[in-house]
Amino acid sequence: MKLRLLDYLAIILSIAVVGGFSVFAYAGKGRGGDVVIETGGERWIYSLAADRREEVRGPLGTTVVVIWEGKAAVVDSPCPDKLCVHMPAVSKPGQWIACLPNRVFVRVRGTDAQKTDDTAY
Amino acid sequence: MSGSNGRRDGLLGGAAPARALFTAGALLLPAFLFQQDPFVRGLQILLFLGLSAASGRRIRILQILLAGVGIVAFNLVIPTGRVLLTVLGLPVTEVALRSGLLKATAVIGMIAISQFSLRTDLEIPGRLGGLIGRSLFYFQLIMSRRNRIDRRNLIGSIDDLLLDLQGSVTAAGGAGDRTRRTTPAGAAALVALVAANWAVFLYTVIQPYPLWGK
Amino acid sequence: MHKRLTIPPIEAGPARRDLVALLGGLSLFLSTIEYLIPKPIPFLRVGIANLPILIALDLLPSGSLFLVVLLKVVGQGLVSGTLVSYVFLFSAVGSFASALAMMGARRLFGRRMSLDGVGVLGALFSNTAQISLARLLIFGEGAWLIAPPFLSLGTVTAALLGLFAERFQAGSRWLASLRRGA
Repeated sequence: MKLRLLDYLAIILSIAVVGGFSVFAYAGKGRGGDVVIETGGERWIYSLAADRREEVRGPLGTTVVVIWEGKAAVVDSPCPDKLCVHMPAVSKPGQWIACLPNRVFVRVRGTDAQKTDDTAY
Repeated sequence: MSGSNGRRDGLLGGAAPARALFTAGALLLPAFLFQQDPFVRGLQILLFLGLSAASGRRIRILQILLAGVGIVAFNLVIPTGRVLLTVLGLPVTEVALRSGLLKATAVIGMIAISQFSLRTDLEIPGRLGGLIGRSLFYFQLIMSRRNRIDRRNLIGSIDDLLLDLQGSVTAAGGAGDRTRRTTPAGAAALVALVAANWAVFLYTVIQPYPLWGK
Repeated sequence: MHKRLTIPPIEAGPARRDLVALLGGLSLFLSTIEYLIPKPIPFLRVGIANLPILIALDLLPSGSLFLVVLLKVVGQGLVSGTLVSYVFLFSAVGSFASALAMMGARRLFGRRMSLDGVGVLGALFSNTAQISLARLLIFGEGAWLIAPPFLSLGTVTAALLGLFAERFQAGSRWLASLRRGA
């Protein structure tokens, strides 16, 4: 019934692994928030971590939003002046791009910290 | 999902031997898994669970539901796709939901198929088969003597039990496949089952997501 | 200074095959008990079924040990009716990862690590492997969220089980009779 040194080492190793996972799973949530795309009554949420291309339909036509390397940007839109296309890519919570003529709104939200923002809408 | 310790007739009242059932199950599996509509899967699961119950297995509905909900919930944690509704301030997104449902139905479906297509008297040929048979024999032996285990003298009582077992080396294991050949009715039923599920899958190849929509 | 294990493994032959079968049946019995323990969280694993493997570490060579693991996993799958499913896959991956780790630890450290540490290492490898598999097959990124509690619980139960295994090994007349070559 006596535990030897190696036993304690094994236990410490386990604890270390648990700690590692904790950091990875809980603290790591901070990096890479979500992108929220809104139009009319619909909302889409996508993680900034995964590259994708989404087409959103508005009254004027299809706005194309691309998520790439942790940033989101509008690459095409049926609005006349294409202001939204020229806006820089967003990646930090609170930043946004909007295509008002086509009523498309793209913004970055942090993970849980920004929840009040959501419900405020 | 406990073993069928009571009724050993199995499905169809013994009209199909263990190996036929196993083959049917193995053929059902890909048809079920390739089909990607969560609602269709739900229906298939109901069918399989029904078959499972008919073959004498106890089904713990609550446990199954809980596990399914758990899997779906986990997948919803990372929101992806169109927001369908918001529960307690957390968004339920379409892509995440579909992914979660697919995974949950896959797990539950696989378990259900296993339950009615596997019987404990299934013979696996070869030396390993013999070992499995003997192993199950010891298992049943220990089960029948489990009352001898005393919680207050755990190590001692288990030790005694094991010492006692040492003598039972008799190779009397072989439970053997207790059913005769497949009856025509049994074969027809199994073939119909497999064919129906494959037909459903092929239908979804042409018309994906018939019940899910989009 | 590496202290060699002085207890010789059981010789090949019908006695060994019988022991393997017995251990397999025992594992199966223990997994049934584990299955019956009410669990607040469905995916909790206590790992009682690993006890026979822990105890047999000094008695059987690697090949036979793996056979016992195989028997445990297949037997469980047959009886609970989950042989053709993800559950079986998880069970198999976890059990084999654990067996590998435990055998490795025993070969490397001999008696300098008691069955407690060996069991803890086994649980660590098994649970990590299973969580990773869960990330891939079932849970997606959300899997990492339960990793810490899952792993810590696994460590605690493994430590307790290992303690029990050591005690058992010390006081078992059955084991003694096996070693004497009954």
